[in-house]
Amino acid sequence: MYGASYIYQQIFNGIVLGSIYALLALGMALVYGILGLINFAHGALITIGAFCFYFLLFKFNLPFVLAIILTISLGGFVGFLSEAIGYRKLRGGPGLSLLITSLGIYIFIENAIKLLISPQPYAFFNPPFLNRIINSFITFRVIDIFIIITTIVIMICFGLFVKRSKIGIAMRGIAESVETAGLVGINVNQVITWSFVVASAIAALTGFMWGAKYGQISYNMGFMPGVIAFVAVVIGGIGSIPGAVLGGFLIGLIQIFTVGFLPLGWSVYRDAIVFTLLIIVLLIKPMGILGRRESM
Amino acid sequence: MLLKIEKIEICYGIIPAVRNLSLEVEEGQIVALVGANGAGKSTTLKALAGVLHPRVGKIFYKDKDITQLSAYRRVPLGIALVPEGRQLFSTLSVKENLRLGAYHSNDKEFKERLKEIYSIFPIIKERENQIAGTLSGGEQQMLSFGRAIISKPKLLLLDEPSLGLAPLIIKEVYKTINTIKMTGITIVLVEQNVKMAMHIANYMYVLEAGELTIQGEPLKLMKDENIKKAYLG
Repeated sequence: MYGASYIYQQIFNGIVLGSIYALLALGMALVYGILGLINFAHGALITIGAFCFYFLLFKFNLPFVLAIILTISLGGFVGFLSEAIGYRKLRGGPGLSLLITSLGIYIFIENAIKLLISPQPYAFFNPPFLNRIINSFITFRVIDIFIIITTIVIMICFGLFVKRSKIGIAMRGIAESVETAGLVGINVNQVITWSFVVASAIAALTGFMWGAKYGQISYNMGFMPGVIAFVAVVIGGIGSIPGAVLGGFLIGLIQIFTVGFLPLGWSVYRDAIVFTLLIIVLLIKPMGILGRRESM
Repeated sequence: MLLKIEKIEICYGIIPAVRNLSLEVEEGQIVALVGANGAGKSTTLKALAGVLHPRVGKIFYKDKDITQLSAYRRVPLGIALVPEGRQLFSTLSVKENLRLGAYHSNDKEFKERLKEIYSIFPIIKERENQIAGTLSGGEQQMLSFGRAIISKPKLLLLDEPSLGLAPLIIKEVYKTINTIKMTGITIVLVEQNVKMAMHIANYMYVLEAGELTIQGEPLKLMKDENIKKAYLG
């Protein structure tokens, strides 16, 4: 029915989309593991990252690499601010107040962008080298390869960071017990700040990826990817970072397969199918695919 | 005087757990806080570690007022706690637990400190890459000691180090405490097992219902009829 090349093409597309979801889910799982917070504001960082890159590259004509670095830095800074202003004082209180605050931060950022920049979508033009089309067994653009390779590099670095570095080990220690972490001498506030900075910086980068891939950015572009990243965290097993990454790739593949293999009219249901999957996973395996008891 | 507590009162909510407690710890000594369950021993120790803060009174460490200093800031000053029930990071490896104990050191210092810890506790070295939660009770206690000592403390706070361990292991633990003392570390020991504490301590404070009742050198206290009746059976 479908040729091998078509099937590989769909798998490739699924991996590209899944990479973006996986990067988002990774940051969400990191923050969740440490604070037990489902950080809805995470999606807003996608929007911030996309607009930041857009203005730096097209309005200020900065070189590509510099624009990327500044975008990541701004994302990290916003993560730092949201933790320092929004969450720090609420820690130790009911988890619900953190959750509501994160929704508030999301709504604030979305509306600030709508007000200050534009309620209209912007067309996002890539630097030409990212749009170059490569035709071989499958067809793709350079940006697709850029997304996949960047994702792999970030995941390896992140894995090493959490596994080997002092702060990474401290993150896992805090995820297990904040009190013990404090009494062995860990500056808990500092480590939590770092986790927000890292997660938000990665999310801002995915904003650029999203814009470059789909050619359009808007003030509310971060909402759906943010929610889907959350679904990825739940499907993969809440609290498990590898689970979140797996969940991200899984959802990316499923969405692309919905469009690529199901009859034409079905593609509008691609988000609905993701949520159906969420319900099924929760019914069969409530802890998620890789979820055990709460640990990173 | 390494440590001086002046008339502290510590409360859980509005309920005072420790009242009007003053005590002193001289450098190089082992000072034991003993008493029944709920007498306020662990509460006092938590105030020394900075987990709890007294509502009234002051705590001086090396003549510096540390009453309101948070726990993580006390570790670099040289105060380390071996918590009750060990409280290891059970999902982390032995080495990772030690790394967090030496959080204030950089990687190079940590490597050096690690060697020293391994020479004191060879059993921990064998288990280096094992997940802490899978160690035996005695090994976990050793790791908990190691995690505290790797921060180079001058004052080590031990909260019920024999709790939940087999008698043979308890002997091992007390041998270790002696070894630690020999390295020049001052120790404050909280213990329900008064006999064990008497054997090792230079000075003892007996707490009852949150207040200090008796204090003195163990040899003298041992002759006290009241103590004999109440604690030594």
